[in-house]
Amino acid sequence: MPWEVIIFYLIAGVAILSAGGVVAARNPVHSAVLLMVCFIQIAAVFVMLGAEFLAVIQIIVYTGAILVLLLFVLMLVDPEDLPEFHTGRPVQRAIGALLGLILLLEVAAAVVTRTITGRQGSATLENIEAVGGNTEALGRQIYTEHLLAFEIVSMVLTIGILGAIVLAMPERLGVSGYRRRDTISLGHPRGTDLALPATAGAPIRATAGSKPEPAGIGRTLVMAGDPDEQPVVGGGRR
Amino acid sequence: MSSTVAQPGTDGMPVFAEDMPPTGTYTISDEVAINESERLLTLNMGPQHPSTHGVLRVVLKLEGEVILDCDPIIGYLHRGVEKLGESHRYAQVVPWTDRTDYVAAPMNNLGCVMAFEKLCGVESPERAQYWRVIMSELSRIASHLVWLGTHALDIGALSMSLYCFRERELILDVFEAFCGARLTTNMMEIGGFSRPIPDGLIPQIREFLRVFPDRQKEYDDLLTANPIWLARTKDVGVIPAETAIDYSLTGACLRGSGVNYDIRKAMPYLVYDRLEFDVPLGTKGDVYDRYLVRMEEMRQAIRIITQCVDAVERMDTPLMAYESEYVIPPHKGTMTTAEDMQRHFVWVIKGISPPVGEAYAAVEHPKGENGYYVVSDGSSIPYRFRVRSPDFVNLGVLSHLAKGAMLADVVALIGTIDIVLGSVDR
Amino acid sequence: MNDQPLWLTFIFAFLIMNVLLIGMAYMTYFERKMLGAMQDRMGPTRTGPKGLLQPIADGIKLLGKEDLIPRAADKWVFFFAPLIVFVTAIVGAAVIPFGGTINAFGRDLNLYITDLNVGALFVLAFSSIGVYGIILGAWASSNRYSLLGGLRAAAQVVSYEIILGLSLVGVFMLAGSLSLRDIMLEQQTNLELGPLTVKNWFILSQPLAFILFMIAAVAETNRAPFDLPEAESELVSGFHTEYSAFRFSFYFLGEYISMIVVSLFAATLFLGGPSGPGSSDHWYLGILYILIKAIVFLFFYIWLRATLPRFRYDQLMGLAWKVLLPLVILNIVVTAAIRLASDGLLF
Repeated sequence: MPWEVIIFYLIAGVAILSAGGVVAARNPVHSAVLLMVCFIQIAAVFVMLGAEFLAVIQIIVYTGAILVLLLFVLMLVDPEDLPEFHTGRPVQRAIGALLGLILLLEVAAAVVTRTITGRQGSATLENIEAVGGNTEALGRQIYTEHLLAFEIVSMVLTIGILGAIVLAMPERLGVSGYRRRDTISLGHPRGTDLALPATAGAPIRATAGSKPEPAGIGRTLVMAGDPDEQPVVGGGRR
Repeated sequence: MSSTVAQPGTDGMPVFAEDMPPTGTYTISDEVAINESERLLTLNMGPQHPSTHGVLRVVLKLEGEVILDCDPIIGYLHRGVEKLGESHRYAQVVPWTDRTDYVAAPMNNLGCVMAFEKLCGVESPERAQYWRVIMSELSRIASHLVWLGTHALDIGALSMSLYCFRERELILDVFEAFCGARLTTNMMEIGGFSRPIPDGLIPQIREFLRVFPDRQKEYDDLLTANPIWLARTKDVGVIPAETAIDYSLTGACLRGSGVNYDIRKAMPYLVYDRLEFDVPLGTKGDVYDRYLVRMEEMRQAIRIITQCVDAVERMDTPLMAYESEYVIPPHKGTMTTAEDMQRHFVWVIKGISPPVGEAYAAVEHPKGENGYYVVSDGSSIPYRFRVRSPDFVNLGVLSHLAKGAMLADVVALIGTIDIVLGSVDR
Repeated sequence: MNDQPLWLTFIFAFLIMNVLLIGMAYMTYFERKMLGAMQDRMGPTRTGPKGLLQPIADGIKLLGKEDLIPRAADKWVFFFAPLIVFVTAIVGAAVIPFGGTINAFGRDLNLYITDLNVGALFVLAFSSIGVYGIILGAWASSNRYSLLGGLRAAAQVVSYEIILGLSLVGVFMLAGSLSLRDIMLEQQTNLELGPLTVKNWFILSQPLAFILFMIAAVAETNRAPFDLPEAESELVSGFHTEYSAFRFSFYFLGEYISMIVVSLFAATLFLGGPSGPGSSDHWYLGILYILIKAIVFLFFYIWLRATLPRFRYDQLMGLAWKVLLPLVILNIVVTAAIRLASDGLLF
């Protein structure tokens, strides 16, 4: 038993230190790294509580996906370009402090009420054993009791994804869209504005406008035996 | 420096680059976009980079992985071959051409020698012409093999480079047996060939002709219908026929776009008008078409070599136009007769002095039209020696193609233009 | 089960770790020999008999090289990043079962380090942390090629992790467990296929999932044709351009060990792990079988590398999101429907 306590304090200490570091680090990438450390410590706490599934999902989702995408953005930002990163913006700082305080109070309230009433939730060790383990217990909780909330959260996330796609569409970005039209756009199946004008009568292949041809060779060469032979092929003629 | 230095632009002083208006490769709309966007990443590829085929330097402006601006910078392998050609005697110029496009050295020799022969009014004998065709078509296959190996390696097909270099060895062995050198062959001479054809060379070439089509089928199996290869090459780097002509592209870059121009057919030199072969033309002008065209050119080269080998096997005529005064005298005569020894002495010490005039000769190099322009003032060194290297001209289209492409396409585009920096920078 | 003393587990873990390290060294030898054979050349021959000491010589060489840190690099992250790759790669092996519990040396011994009830997800979780090593190393090098490699790695790994994880859902449904040991035991039951009685390997009931898993696993380990983060032709080794000496070798170790771990993982999930003729009687045969199965996968990796060109970045992402993701979801839906129907719950 004391071993577990010592290990818990070790993990908790590292978690709190790294969480402090997230705020204190001057470089946003360092903050992200420390946040990763913090997430992994929390996963370790979950393991100690016997919630292995939660721990692994914590790592896969938060550490493995969300934080990676966060890093993706942070890597491209030069900290020198953020003059007001640590100073100024009093309104944001005040709001941030307020939100943090509210969160802290919520957690404290939850802990205190539980301690005062001494009431335990339904997730006791016996109940978990009864359904076959914490993974099963979590699954049953989510897909029966909290199904509606779960589905609503899914919808919200889907809306978020759609919104991101709409925002990232290059055609909506004015200059960007204008630029892309003017380049030989090899990443786009449309090709270029210059590449294949629909010259009248020229038997331009179906590949000119639409999607790429199916796999397979799908293309033949013209074999010219005569230097004066001028086959009509894709592309403009003089 | 003292105050006597003239101002740029006056008194015949050259105008330096910084005084000129910027002549970039981008259009105005690109410039606006590049200036407006703050998220661009400038990436300097080369001159030390594994995929720029030597010391090409490409400065890219990227938005994510999409290239907005591409600026190829050349000159890192400039050795001044043209100037060297103007300070060496005619026969000494030929070895310098080996060093331009070193993967197809016999072709460079051929163009240079043909220009000199035109200047001197020498015509090489028929048998020598057949051998010249054999050697230039072999070097075409060798060059295309290097292109295929490195192009496939750039796109990620690791093994192709080793397969291609395996077959290229066979060709280099033929070169070695023929002239003693493998890379910088210095094979062609003014007037033909002064040394005899070694015994066993024809069987060696026939063995290559027997082996190669099967090996080429292996390349086909690995790449031609490979979905990843198709995805990486189809509809990438499309050059419409008009653009190809505007950029004065030659070789497979032009024929891949469907323009029927091959010097071997359009202005036949050597004995090409007597040989049967077809010129493959692409239909779309993308990287894949140029791949198909070059693959087919290798097959046609095999066809040409087979005809030539059949022809020369029965011939026993001389290899050198010894009757001309511009040709090195026969080795045997140099040893035995006084006139030949004197002529040889003068040929070596003073060199030949072609009549005053100018000549241009072009060959269908594996990479395009390789032209040599030479002006004689009657002395024993050329007054002007100009090399029209095909890949220097073809490289011009790179920045046009790269704009809007992905970063990984740049290496495919450099590969498909098929440059050798020795030839680009000269 | 989990009742053996802790020190025995430590000894077994130590053994596995060392076997993995040596296996990684000889994986490079195997790869070079195989590539050599496929490319008409010899591979290493000079160091030791048939070049067998080549991996050791390479290790010594890497130890002796100068350790360069670019001046503009973020030194702390630069130092830390390769270790993440290495550690996370090796930890995945902790849940791979090499067999059940055996009786040897007068004791009951477990042929696995630990039997987590979420073992399969554990492997995925650590492989998802592994990408940090790549991203952070790329960023810390302050080199633009590395940065681009890191960006590619981030996008690639996040996308293919989804495919990798979802392709296993069918297996989880059939096995009814996330524990690799349960999945292994499930595959030792017999399956009646008409006149044939075969072991219930999940490759038979989940062929689509197996193919998708293999594709995603190749992408997840950054191997050809998905080796975009280190594409040597355009990015000049990508994320480890600036790394040298033993720091570089940590990346190298990490990549090869994660290949081995993924191969063992695939063998456990789809090919029955240690199951095979006679494996139920002789535990050492089981270990041999799982190793042979893993080597088949490793050969597959090498074969791909020798054969295929590399994808382009947009094609890679398109493949993941437009082709593989619908297929993997289809697989889940079909498997779930069949599972429910067989339990009589669907109709």
